[in-house]
Amino acid sequence: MNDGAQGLSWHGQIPCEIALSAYDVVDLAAPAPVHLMLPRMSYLHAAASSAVDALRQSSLVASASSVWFSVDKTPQRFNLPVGVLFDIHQLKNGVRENSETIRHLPWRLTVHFSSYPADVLLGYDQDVPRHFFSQQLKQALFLEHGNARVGMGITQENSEQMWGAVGEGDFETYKIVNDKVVADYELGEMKHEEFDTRSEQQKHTDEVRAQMDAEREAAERKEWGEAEETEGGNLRKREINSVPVRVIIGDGEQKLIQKPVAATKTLGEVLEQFLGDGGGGTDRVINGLFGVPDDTFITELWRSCQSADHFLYVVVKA
Amino acid sequence: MSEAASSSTPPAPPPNPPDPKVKIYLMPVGSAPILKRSKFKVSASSPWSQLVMFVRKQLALAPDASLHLYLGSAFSPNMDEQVGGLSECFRVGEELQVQYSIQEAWG
Repeated sequence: MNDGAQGLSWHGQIPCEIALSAYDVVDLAAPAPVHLMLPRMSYLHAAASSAVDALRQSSLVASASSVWFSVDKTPQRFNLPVGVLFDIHQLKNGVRENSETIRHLPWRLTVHFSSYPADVLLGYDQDVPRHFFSQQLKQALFLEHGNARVGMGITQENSEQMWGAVGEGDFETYKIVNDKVVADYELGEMKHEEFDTRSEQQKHTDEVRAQMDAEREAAERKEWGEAEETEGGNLRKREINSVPVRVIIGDGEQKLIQKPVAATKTLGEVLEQFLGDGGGGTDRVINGLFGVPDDTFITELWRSCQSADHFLYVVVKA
Repeated sequence: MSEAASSSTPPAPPPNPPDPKVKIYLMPVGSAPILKRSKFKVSASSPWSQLVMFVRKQLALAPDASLHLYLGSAFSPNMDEQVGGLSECFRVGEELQVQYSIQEAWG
């Protein structure tokens, strides 16, 4: 993975102001809103739990099973990363370039403890956000590898560690667990290969060849630099079966579209695939970035801007 | 006739194409009851939640009974994901194989 760019993505935070819904206030005066920085890669319920706990004190209905957030009276989906929700909000409010983002800060959210909008949001209880994150991660890994084995290798402990890291926007911990999961899978693949029918001599020859290829590629990378790593959109480290990409149409019902995406495609080609003719020219925002060129390889974007669930979210204007 | 006049009567737009159908193959896991009929067609634009409701009805489950639907014997899609998109990504051959279980089968 492109750790540098992905690490920068993870350090992105959004200044927020969280207020208690007027319908839930039981004190004579509404409590002061809570100001905090929400990590882009996190999820509302994980990242804003301290604010929720503080505001809960002033609410009569404090059931954990009905906590939800809204922005401008629009309920926010808890299964989308904070950054994606903010990008939807920006596009909806006519932001077209990064310099305009500042006008919409702090991002004003309202937390509710009653009147859960079950017709709009998925069913919620305390453990549901982590469960959805885990399932989305497995789905993305299935697309990446073309099978379920990596996802199935995620233990309960791995899942809890990743969710904890996501909640705190802690890229270092997330990366350690994420890399371990993939490394365990690759180790399993190697063990699986021990049962192959090649002769010892053939295995040795293949290993020597693989070692020589790796050394040659390393030398080429050193000579040609980072750009050479993904020439043609092909991944250097391992082949990708399909790039996990989701397109969200940022207006109205915020429809989410998912299709298999070949690793060799550009952003423009992907938008044409998802949205039909003319899709490439659509206003879009990716991980807070406006104006990403159509000819950017989708794998480059995915490496740099993928969310913690391994999906690349592209928010487009309807 | 001028060009402007001829362009004032554009041809009628083609009617919207019908919503394509996705072939679903329902496979029981563990102690889940076997359905009399396991293959169905569902509109591609249907949300996953609609398929879940359909299977609940087919199994005649009580409202509070649990039901888990999986793809690839691995994960549960979100309720708001479209069946058509999931089929494009995860179908096997011509059909989307869906595992269903009363107990949680794959966390």
